[in-house]
Amino acid sequence: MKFLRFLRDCLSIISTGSRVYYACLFFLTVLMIWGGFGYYGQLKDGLIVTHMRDSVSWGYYIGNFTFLVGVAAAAVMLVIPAYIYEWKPIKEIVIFGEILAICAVIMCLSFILVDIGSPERFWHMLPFVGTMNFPSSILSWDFFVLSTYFLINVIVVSYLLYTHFYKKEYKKSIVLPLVLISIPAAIGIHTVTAFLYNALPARPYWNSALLAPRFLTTAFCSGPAILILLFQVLRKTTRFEIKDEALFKIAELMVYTMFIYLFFTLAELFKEFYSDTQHLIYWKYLLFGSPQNREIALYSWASILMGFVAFLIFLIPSTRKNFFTLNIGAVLIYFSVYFEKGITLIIPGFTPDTLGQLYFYAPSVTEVRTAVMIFSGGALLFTFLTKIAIAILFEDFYFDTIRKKKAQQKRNAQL
Amino acid sequence: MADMQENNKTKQSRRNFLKKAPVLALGTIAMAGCNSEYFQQNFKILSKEEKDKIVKNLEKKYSEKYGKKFSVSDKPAMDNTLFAYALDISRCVGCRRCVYACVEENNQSRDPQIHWIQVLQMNKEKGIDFHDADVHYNPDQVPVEGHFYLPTQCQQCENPPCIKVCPAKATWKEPDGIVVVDYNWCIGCRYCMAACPYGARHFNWGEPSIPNEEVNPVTHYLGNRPRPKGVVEKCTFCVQRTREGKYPACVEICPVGARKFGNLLDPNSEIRYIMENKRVLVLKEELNTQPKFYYFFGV
Amino acid sequence: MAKKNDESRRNFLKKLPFSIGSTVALAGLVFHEINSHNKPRVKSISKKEANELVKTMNSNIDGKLSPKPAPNKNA
Repeated sequence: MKFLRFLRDCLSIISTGSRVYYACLFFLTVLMIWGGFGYYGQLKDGLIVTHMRDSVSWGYYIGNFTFLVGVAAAAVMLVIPAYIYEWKPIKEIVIFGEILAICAVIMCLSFILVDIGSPERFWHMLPFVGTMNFPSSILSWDFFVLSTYFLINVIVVSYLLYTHFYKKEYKKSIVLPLVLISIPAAIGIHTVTAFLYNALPARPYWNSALLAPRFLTTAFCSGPAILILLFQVLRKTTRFEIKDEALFKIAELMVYTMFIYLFFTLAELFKEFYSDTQHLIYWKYLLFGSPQNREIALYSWASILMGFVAFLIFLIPSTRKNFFTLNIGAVLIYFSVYFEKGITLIIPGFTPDTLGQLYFYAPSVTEVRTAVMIFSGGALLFTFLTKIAIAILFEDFYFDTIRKKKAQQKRNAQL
Repeated sequence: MADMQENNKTKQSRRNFLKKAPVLALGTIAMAGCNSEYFQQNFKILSKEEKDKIVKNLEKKYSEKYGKKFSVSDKPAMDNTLFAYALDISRCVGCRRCVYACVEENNQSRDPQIHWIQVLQMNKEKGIDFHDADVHYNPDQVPVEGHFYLPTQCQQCENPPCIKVCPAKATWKEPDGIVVVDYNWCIGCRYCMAACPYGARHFNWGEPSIPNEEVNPVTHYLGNRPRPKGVVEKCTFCVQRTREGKYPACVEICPVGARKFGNLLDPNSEIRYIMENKRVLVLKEELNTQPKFYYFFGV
Repeated sequence: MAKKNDESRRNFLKKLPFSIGSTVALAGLVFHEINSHNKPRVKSISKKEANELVKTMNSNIDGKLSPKPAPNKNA
């Protein structure tokens, strides 16, 4: 019962707010509805309203799914340095990181649901009620680790907020093991997602052993970038305290992963271009497109350029410790990884296809609308959860707050 | 005092909920019972009675939809049978009659267009090189000078990469070697399509459409029965024909005799003769998929 | 009367060997045909004959066929 009351009071937090807050909600809801109508067209006519076809059978949806798995993983990876470097607001960092992870995982699962041809048959891949192909299918593994990771995050966040709400001390014996498990789980979800692609010898573009390590390094670049921005906003608007040095430390750690990512990419490029086998054709398409269609080259070079500039910004101490340039760098690296995972990872894997034929894929309007629906839904959820967390952690919102308020109002009325 | 009142209130609401619970439960079960088709399990774990019921139901639905008397067989694999295919590259002229015979026999959608057989036009100078192949060739006459033709379809691998990756076990290899899909179980994730090195698997991106007069009503549950939107399909060595002792449609229609088919376990079969006496090759051998679709040069 | 019966019987007996002979020959031909179809096609003709066969098949259609339409580009 106490938990239900906690939920009910949380609902009251998100139903009241400033004008900016309502404007945000309205904007996101409008986007969701617009996107939703686009998705309805897909439910009615089938996936033919996308631009995916037999040659390029995965596209924008799976690309977004892959990117968001990286975001979900990285958010929690901040826990390690927070713990090692003994940052004061470690509990808050864990909570916000995990809220981001929760929203990202929900968005991941949504992208899978909109991508499969018969979403109502989703239960066929579950154990017990369906016939899960574990341990053979990597997709079954992915489902398993994603749900585990999701559960851990939901339990930790609700437990921490719940105990704070009831002005109790949280039991370290519950939280610490879960948080510790969430770290290998975070590495796990992104490694398994990389293995999804790695498992296919039919697609030489993905069959490199470096694919999983590259995934992890890009994850560590994208997730923390969002948190750098978020923590600055929280610092200004709430009692949340995080030292500048901590933020710069996050950026510094990102430099290491960015460097490793650049090195891995160099290694891949060397192997393909020097060996000059027929497999080079996928990388040539990635970087130069095809005489009939050069569009993808725009995205690959944009991704490379943005990533490189961000790397320099984060590397040079003067630009790293300047918040203006730091924030630009964070935005740049986020979009660099988005282009990389969402577009330049998936499409060259299918172009040309297994029989050497070329089909040029670009997302259709329906795919964009559906993606907007999911992203705005995720943003909405993120807004709600952070508002709840902020209220409980920084604005003294406790179980007796509402009752005190009501008692106060009664007294005022009597007066 | 206030706490006691709250406790009473919660007790009341709990009692009210418990009163309504049985009705809700019954309603859910009733709904589940009505739509029992939705809850059909994976074909591999169904009993004979359940399969018979499903097949009868399908026959009724198809007959109503297409206005023809449909038969849906669920005949299992025959004993001592391992089907294999041999294709004579020296004879194929690229006429694509096999493609369209397959479309008719196996009820492939006309719009959106699905072809289980893809014929590749290749250069004699380059040999078998997929990056120099063209599936959209359209000259007035074939064969075109300096080119040869390589038809591809599901290679019915002995070590199929597609069945490894299916998350729901909706596709598997039957005892007679044919890789099949349970169209009622496939969730349409298309992981198998990404895994197939031969581009052999196809997806129903839209609602498939077949003109009623062209529908083939003699079907098999795992083979050529009309598929719904959102599932994967592919060549099944005409399981509805080969399990009745007939040849696949593509073998029969080939006007130059380039296609051979038979039971590998029969030492007197044509296919065994070819394996033993001709120089046979498979596509993408380094991927260790062990296809049962062999290519050779007969003349 | 008896004389006419004798005539027709003699005529019949004259034709009998021929009928028996032709029946046996026909039966033999049919039997041979059935047997020859049971042998696998590949074993029963030599490589030279196979080449000739292919040439004949191709020449019957002037060496070329007009192909069925190519698949759609966006399929």
